[in-house]
Amino acid sequence: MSHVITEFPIYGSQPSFRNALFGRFVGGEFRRQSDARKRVVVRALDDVSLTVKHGDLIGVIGHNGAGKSTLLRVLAGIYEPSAGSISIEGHVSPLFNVSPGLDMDDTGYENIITCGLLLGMSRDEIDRKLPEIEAFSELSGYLALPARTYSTGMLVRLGFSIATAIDPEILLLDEWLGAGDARFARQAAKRVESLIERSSIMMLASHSAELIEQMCNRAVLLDHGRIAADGAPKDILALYNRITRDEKSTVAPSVQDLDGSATIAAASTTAA
Amino acid sequence: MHIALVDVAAGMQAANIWGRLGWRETKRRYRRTVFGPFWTTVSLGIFVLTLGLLWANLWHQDAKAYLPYLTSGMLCWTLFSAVCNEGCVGFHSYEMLIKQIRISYTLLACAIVWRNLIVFLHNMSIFVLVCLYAGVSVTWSTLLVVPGLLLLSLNLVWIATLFGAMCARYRDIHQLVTNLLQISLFLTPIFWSPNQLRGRVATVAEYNPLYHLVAVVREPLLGNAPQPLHWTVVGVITVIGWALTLQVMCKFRHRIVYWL
Repeated sequence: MSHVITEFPIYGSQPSFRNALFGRFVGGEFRRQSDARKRVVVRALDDVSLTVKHGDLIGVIGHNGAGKSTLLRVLAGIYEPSAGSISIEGHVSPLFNVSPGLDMDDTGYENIITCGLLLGMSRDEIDRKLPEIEAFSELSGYLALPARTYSTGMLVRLGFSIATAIDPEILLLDEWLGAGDARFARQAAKRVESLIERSSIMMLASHSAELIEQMCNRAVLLDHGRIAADGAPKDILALYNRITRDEKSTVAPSVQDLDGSATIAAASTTAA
Repeated sequence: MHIALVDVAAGMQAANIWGRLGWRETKRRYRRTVFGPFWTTVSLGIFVLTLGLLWANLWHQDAKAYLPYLTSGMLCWTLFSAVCNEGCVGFHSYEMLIKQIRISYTLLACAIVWRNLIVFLHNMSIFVLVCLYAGVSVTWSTLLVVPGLLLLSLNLVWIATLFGAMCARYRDIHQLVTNLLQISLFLTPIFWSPNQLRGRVATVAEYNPLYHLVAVVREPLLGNAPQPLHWTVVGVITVIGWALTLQVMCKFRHRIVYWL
């Protein structure tokens, strides 16, 4: 990614009220576009430059609204950047909060096929991997029932089993362990490990420090749409903890706070 | 432009996905109902039967000639107007999907067209019944319904894509489309036939592009070959429509997700 800027235009809003409200809660910065229409835009990603190579398992961490999900979605090709460029080599497999194309009225089996197709698997591949998906989701009899009858945890298990059955080259995970019990979390970790072995690159956006420490070999701290730091997970997480403890400051600390292994790309500013 | 073409081609080729999406929508509408998709068929049948007989009487038409004409016209019109309406809200209804994975907009348009084609095929049962009653002959020209339908579907895909994109940005367009469709239903020869018009007004029918779109499917259904004029006009509409849609998608495709 090179100097990527992603802006979300907001239509039909009362600019001043929204500015006041959002300035407090959302991380993106507000800009008024200097064109005749005077739209309000939220700059979700501001001048992000990132190089990811084979073997990188990157954890993306940051406060709410920092731009983690946007970053992943831009890499998945869902949002095209307003400025800057992205060059991707390899097939991207996004696994965001819920299975794509999940239909609550369809049975588990039907959803496996639909989601599998949408994630890029062929019908043969899905049929071949069905026993594996079934076994991992541990939903057995429920797979013949409509997804309406599933609990959130079961939906997560189903979505996760389908998505991890693919052979990804670049895997993007966005806070997928929201629901699901402890046992599932452990099994999921194992499956993700084997998935990671099969994939070349993984990016995981999460609030959970242990997850990032466990899974990743590199971490990126996002703050208000900018990369505040990029380096080894331990250091970045320590930095993140320090920042969140100090509620008032959203400014990245000076270089003396860290040892030499982390690099700071840009100092962030407070919201407008 | 090249990217747009590739995107469109890829979208259309993913028939396993849009086929499945369209079929799933059909299933969803009729889950836990008794008659399923035949409900629309029944309502269409009642409409055609009652109004067909009434108007045939009113306008001194032979019922056996008028009913098949009306039915086949209504079949085509239902397909066309349904795709126009659903195309407008199409991208909104697939918003969740668009924001979760990278998906071709043409694919979604194909899904919309496909599910309405399924409804069309269900409605054909009414037409078959009417034909049996009226004694409409099946000729070699009837086979032309296949290319006619394919051509109509091709046009419907660009219509669904274009309207979907426009409505993603300006929601009023859906209202505009609904209103235009209502008027067009009367201005297009569906309830009346062009030879009923007298004098210069008769040319109004020929200048209506929708007349030709409907005729390519209606004429074969009635056992006649569509006139060359119909094929020509539909061919021109297809080319211009796709050129326009590709241009729009080229420029605005990446903005659509921000509009939703």
